[in-house]
Amino acid sequence: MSYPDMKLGGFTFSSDGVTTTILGVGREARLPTYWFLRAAYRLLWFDFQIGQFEFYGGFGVTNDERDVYLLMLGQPKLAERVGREEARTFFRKIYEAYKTPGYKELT
Amino acid sequence: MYHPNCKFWKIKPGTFTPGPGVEVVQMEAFRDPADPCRDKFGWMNLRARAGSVNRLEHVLEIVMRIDNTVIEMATASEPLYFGHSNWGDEFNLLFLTGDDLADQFPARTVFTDTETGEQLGYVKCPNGCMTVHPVGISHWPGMLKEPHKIFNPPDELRRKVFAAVFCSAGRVDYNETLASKPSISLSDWSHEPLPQFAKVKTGEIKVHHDRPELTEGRIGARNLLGMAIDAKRPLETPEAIARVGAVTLDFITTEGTGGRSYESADHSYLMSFFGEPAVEFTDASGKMLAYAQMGETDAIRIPAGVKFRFVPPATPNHAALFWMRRSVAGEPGSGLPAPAAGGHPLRKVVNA
Repeated sequence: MSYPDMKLGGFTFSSDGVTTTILGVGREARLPTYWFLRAAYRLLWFDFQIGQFEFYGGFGVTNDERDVYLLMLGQPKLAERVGREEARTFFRKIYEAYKTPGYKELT
Repeated sequence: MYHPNCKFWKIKPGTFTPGPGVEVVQMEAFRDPADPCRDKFGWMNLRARAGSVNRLEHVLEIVMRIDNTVIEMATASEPLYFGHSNWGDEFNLLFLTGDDLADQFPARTVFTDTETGEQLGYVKCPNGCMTVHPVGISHWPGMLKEPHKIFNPPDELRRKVFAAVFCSAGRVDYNETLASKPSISLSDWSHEPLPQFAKVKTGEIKVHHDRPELTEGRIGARNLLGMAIDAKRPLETPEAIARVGAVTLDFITTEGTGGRSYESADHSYLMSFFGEPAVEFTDASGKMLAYAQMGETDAIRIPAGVKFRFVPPATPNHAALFWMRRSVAGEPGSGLPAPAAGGHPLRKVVNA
């Protein structure tokens, strides 16, 4: 099974089905795809309105009233602004694209 | 019918008996900027709600709200997979489930720098405790160490837990952990159990500081179960254990013999944490509006101006509850000065 590279603003996401790698603002974050999918689904459920939201590996997302900011934690923390609707659409797509066989959300 | 991973939970809702003409509705999760049913009595058993079959894990559902201060519920059978820094302080009430194995598991909440992601400290405690997540610091309950190994046991081996988070759903003017003189305690002390609870396991709290200059006096936990059964705690003496914005969370123990009454000018919420208390509700003239024989983790929404008092329960027992209410004049965050006569503002307002 192959998983496409996907871009949101200047950030590039890739997955080999086990690990998701995120490149942006000159930094790299890596985390198990399982945890990436879990977190991405909740980010969508909260519709990005949850203050600062951090994934494993140092990637994060925050928001103001209009926009969403993609973050790389570190010294210093770096951010890139993207539109809320663009972010919403992107995370819906990547969640579906990176789902591995048998993956399911827990009730 | 509850979720199979809650099969060891003790779910036993109590009863709520409204008087003639008094309406009571089932409390539900909502996303409105105000509780849409705040003028009516509401009723919910938190364990039953948390144990429902189709409830998604690790989503925070708002079930109670005063202004921007809310109670959100979340369930989990695996460690949380995101860190979070909220608009204001959060007080995470780790409710008991009745499943001894799940309740005694010591969960670790890691605190990190919102800029760098560096670990600043952690708190480790089992269910029955309250952890404090201070504004300006990220918190991550159950954060895994690198390489963040996947926790994915077979469905039948999972055990669920649940929490109710007293926090803000937007910006608030008052955060307890930023106050120069905190009005509540963020750390625990020893408890001496009542004789009938001598064998109850209350678990231990461990607070670790990697960067004490940033976390001392800001991260912490309280042992709510220890407080509930503490022989030294006077009955019907509310203790403010959390404040967010203009809203206070009180902790009250009772055996239904206090005879004292409580009232809030705004709608408020009562939650049974331990035991099965009985409560009578009356209007300003003393007319009986409703009677509740609460079960453990029952929650009641109380309309504005309704008085309540604890009465002897059907079966005598020792109980502990939370009362979420608007802060009164003189309390930090209320925005209102203390009454000129001085004294404890809560007692001046709520005493019978």
